[in-house]
Amino acid sequence: MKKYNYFITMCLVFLLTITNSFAQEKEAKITLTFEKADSLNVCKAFVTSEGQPVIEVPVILSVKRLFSKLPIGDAIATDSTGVATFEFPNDIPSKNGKLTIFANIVDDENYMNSETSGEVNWGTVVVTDNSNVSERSIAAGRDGAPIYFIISSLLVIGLFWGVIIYAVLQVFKIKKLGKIQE
Amino acid sequence: MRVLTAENELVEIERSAAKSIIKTPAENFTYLQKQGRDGLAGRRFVMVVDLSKCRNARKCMNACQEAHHLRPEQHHINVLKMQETENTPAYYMPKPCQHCDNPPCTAVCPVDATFKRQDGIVLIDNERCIGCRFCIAACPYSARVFNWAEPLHSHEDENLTYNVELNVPQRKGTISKCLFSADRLREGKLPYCVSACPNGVYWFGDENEDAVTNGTTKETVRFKKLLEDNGAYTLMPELGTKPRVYYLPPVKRDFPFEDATEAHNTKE
Amino acid sequence: MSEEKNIPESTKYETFTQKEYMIMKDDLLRPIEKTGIGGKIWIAFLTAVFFAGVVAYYLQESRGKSVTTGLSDYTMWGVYISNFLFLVALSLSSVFMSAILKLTHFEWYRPLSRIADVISLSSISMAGICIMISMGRPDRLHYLFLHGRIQSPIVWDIIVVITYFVACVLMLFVALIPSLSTCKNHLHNLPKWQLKMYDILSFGWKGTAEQWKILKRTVFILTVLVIPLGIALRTVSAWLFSTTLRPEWDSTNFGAYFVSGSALLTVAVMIIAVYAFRKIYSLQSYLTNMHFDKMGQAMVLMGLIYAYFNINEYLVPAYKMSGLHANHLLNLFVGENALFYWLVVLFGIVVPSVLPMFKKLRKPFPLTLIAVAVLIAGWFKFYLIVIPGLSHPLLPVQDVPASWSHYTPSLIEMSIVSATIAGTMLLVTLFSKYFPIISVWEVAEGKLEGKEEIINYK
Repeated sequence: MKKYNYFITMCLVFLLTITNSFAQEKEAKITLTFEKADSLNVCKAFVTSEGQPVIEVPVILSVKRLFSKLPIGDAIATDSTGVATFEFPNDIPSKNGKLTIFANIVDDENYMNSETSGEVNWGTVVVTDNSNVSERSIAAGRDGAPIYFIISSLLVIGLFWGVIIYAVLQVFKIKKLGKIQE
Repeated sequence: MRVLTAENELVEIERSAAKSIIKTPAENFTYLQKQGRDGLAGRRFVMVVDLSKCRNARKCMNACQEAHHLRPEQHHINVLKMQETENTPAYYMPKPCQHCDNPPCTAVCPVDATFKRQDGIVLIDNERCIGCRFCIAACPYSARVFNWAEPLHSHEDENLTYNVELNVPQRKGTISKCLFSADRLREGKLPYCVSACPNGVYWFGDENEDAVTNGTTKETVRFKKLLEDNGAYTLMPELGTKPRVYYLPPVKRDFPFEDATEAHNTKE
Repeated sequence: MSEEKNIPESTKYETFTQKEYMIMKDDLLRPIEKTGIGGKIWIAFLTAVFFAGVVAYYLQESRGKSVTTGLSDYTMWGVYISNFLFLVALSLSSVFMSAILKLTHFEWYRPLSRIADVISLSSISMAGICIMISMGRPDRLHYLFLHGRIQSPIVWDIIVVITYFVACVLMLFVALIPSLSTCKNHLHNLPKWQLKMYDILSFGWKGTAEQWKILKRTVFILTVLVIPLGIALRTVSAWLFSTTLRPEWDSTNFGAYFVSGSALLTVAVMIIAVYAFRKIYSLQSYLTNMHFDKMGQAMVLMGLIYAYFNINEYLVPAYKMSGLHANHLLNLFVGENALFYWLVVLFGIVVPSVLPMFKKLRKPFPLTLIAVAVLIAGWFKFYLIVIPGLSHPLLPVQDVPASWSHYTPSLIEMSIVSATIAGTMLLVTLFSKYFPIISVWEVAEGKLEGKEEIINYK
């Protein structure tokens, strides 16, 4: 009987903790706004939960890169109005200037993980420098040989083969002369 | 429906606009060759190797050899025990192909079998290679290997279409080397070695994005800042090869250097 | 037989008396007419060695290079490449023992020129074959022409080898034209195809004044052509090494060093060939002691020049002993390859520079012995240039089988190498069996001048 009581109690405690933990994590919604203030890029993340602004919750800002997201600075907690203000650097490279920015709440004790993203033209445009591949060089492909190289090679080869062909023609001339003799 | 473009961008198109394409093996081969030679537009791939973290686990080598069907003594990436002088400390240095910006290997290839493409990766086309081995002579980093015998799994790989970005099936009588896992990059994944490392040694990314991602922790940091903060260097820069693999010196190691207890891959 | 009545007084051609002509003709055509039992055995032996090489090649390609050769990822070039360098060195005989002597009016070249040209042609043919054997995918040979990159030193090498081959063929067969009429007219006991061949290759030669003028001009032009071409050939094959970043090969000296080595080896191979022909075909009155005397002096000259380049190549880096070169140099001077290296220096550099200074040693037999030693040392010198250079790359060699640290050529490799050398000798021997090995008209041109042409070699 004692054992049975103990078992029921443990189950109840277990169930309670689970529901508690679920109950504790509320859904949080983040809205991103982008503005410029005195040549600085400012990104604001407004966090609400069930219609109410959320205070003192750390938000992480990151930007989308090829393999994963690049975090921007440290996590900033929302202030009394539920807004986390980030200063966004203006030297993040991007192909066409567009950046996809993510705001995340991660591993917070009160709120579930959530994520929002937005696109903004804050990137510095970087044009890929492929000069080493596209320009002519000794290491380039077959079509990429330097012009001076091609010309001088063809000249030298032409010169030598020109003499050889001349010699062959002379031999045939000898043959022709031999025929005339007859 | 949503489709992935060649630049790894997700776009939405009308379902009716999509045509289903069924390719013959020959067409597939031509397609793979073209995309292999063209590369990924707008990218400049770089790798950063943190020597203070390498403990000679060799998981990178295993993953690479498995993916590319290599024999145990063939190394696309090799973890070398380095010690420059008696007084300077010993350390382990993973050495992949450096994918140089001024490659001595592509300069000497007689048939254009090895080439540097627009995203910086130097590949080998094993349907073109004549096996003269001049590129091995030219490479100062000893990054290339040759298939002296019938390659591993050549029997099972017989019907595979040759993919120059994976270099499988390997061909007897041709050269093989590190490809920066071009096939994985095309899918938006990190290279085999980078993902396999358990110790956080490798960072890989696009220099144009100024971001590199760690293969173990998946952390992303700014590339130039990582180099600057750690005093990065390249191997033998005085040779003028302009390598794309950067090394972070082995400082502040949180473990002592352990000499390898067994000799590796020395079986005949 | 027509008598030229309208030759202007100013044009005189090489002439000799009927008697002298008949003697010369008999001497020089005799080897074509009959082959002794010794000759037959020699040809059979060379053919057997050559076919052993063909079989060895078949085995190599069917079983794979991993089991049939000693090559590995670090020493991926072996005796095929060093043998290729050796054969290309020999193929410059035309340049040093024929063309240069001709242009500088060293008259003693005259009986030697055809021998030099034959050695060149045979050598360059076998060199071309040797380099193809080293390829991993010989079935893709045509890619070199379809997809060739002009920036690659291998492509330069192929272009120069082919050009030089054609120039050698022309040089040899154009100068042969007058002799072929003689063969055609005087040798009657030969198979029909052979006589037909002489007919075709003599290109309608009648010995007229016009034809002589054209022939001499053509031979002169080819003589001039072959010199820069030969030197370019040797230099480009040196550049296969010095265009890489390996410290052992990264030397500005390489082109000239190789050319000077080639000069020495051509003298050596000529001495041996001249001795053989002199002895076997009884050509003592044409290939005289004077020729050996002169060739011995040439050997001293070439030996000293070669010694000079070796000092620059090995002793100057040794003075610095930079970390890049230390491994390689110490390996050669005091390490694994030391005995090998010093023997090669002794027989390949010291012996040819010093010994032929003594008149007694410039006699045919002693000089030939010296030449044999120089030639063998020359072959090993190329081995020492190619292989130790590969064993010490810039980054350490680790995680590979222990056998990879030391290259030993396998039996298959040595069979193929022997086959190429045998092939060279076979081609030279066969040539001497079908064509006169001494250029009659060039000898006559030098011997007798001023007489009217009374017969035009019919």
